[in-house]
Amino acid sequence: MPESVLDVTDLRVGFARQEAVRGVSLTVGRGETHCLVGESGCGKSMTALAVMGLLPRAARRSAEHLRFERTDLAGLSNRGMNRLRGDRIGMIFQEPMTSLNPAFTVGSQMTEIYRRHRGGSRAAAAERAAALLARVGISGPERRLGQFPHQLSGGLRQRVMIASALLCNPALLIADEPTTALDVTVQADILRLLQRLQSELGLALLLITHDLGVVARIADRVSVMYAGEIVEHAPVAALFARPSHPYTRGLLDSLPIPGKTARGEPLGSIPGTVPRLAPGFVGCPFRDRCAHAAPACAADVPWREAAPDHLYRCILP
Amino acid sequence: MTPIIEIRDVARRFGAVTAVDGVSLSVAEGSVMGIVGESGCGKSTLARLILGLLPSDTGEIRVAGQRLDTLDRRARARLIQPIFQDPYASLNPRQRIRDIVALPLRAQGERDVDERVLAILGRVGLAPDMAGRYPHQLSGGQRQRVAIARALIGRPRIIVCDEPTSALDVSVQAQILNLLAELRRDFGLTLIFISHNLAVVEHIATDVAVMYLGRIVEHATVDQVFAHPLHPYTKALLASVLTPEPGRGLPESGLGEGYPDPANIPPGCRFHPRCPVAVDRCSTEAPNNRRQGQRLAECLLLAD
Repeated sequence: MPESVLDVTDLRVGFARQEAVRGVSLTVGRGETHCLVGESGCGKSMTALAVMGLLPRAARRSAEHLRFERTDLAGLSNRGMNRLRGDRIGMIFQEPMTSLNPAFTVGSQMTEIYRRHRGGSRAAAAERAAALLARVGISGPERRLGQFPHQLSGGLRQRVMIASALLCNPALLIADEPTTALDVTVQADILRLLQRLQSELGLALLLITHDLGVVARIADRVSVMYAGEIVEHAPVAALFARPSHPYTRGLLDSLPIPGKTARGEPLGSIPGTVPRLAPGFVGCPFRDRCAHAAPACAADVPWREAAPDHLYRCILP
Repeated sequence: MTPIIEIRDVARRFGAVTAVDGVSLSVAEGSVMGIVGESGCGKSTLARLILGLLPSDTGEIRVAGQRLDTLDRRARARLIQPIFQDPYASLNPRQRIRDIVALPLRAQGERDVDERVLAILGRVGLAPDMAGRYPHQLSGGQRQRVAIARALIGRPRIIVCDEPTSALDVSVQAQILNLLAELRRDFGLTLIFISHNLAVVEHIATDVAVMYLGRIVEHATVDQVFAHPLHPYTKALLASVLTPEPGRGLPESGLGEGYPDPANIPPGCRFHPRCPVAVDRCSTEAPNNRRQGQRLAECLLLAD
């Protein structure tokens, strides 16, 4: 097991009428890609925001452990958190156009981030920014520094975001749906870039996505989220070879795979919709949609081991 | 068999942007024509042209043997109906579901529509009590079922689906794809199915047209396109599909960063700046309407 960079135990995020994250535990090791996968509203983005200290005001966060390297994030002040974000913890979001300021050039945004954390002259910061742009595969980096975000294609903007996140040598990179807004041919290139940078820099990568194709191709370990909790956790090969939670199985069955899924046959689908769970909800959150539901599902459901590193939360053996 | 849709050399510009640039396509009745391509390739503009929501600059579209531009709105609506990506944006938020679904019938001047509304709601898997609700009270999947019910209630012969499942979660996407496949069979519908998701198109379509910068660069049956793609762009698209198969790693698209810009279409073959196998003459000679045997594949490097 690699040395853990992020260690989250029993993370909870609550709102007045809904508990969005209900006891999530996960670790991300140095050089490891951990994918958090689930459908909309499952709490995966809320988990990332909770780690980064970027939750909306109305949210309440609690955790047994929320540790980054040797720092306890739960006990950190806003100022302390601001110092870490963009520095030792890098972030990339889905739509680079909303994260980049349209009124400033790429260069001025990147040098500002660098100088805020590391100080130094504008010229030194610009040099650092150009080096990072080159590193993410952008040709003519000096010229790009003078351009505005709208002058770049979606793929180039996402490369700029990645370069910006890496300016201060982060140990942890949190990427929330980094390729969802991109065309398929561009998506593959951006994911390859992330994978290359990660192994070169030894980054811990927490990648949040709804796309099981992305997960299969880039993850080392996977946590499947449903209705605010992790229902299955496994190394990537094991998860796809032996999905053990009925929700994971349902998700995989609902995906058409060219050449494999029988055409003309209906796809597997999960009946019903995701519930909104009030605080104090007990039992398996999937039980209303599950073909295997039994009375025991209404009580606290224990974790089971499919293999030593492959856990799922279900009454089914 | 005579095609139910016949598109001949249709073009449409918006100012400097050439969205559709000389498209010809025949669609057989009862087939599912998948139209795939990346953002900016003109697939949504083509959908609007087929729906008659936009006039074309040049060329001709015939539907069920009649020229589309000679039909009035009502006549078009009896033949063709749309389903769009975001059902929330395409459903009037102030109307109840029963009125939204009844609209195509009322537009044809019909009254006494209540029974048919309830019947079609049942057919798309919505409970009768949904009829009294508003769009915001429904989930994304339910809203897309409403859009399907509205499209079907007037018994059109063609449905144009523009990214109908792209805003939906995968488990809901599967429900909607299953429903569309079932309705197509039961109602004998012809579907135009526009999507950037190749796996979805492979599952539902019978034929596939691949668009790049305003042109259909390859067109064949779904089996031919997926088993033996001819055009280098089709090959790159298929190679980029991330199937949920771990251990296969991340593919390399092999395409350059020459990002396609419909306001600035390259001379010669429009794909040549990104093409991994381009040769000199690709930058001067346009491969328009080139075929290999019976198949359309606009590439100079293919033998006739």
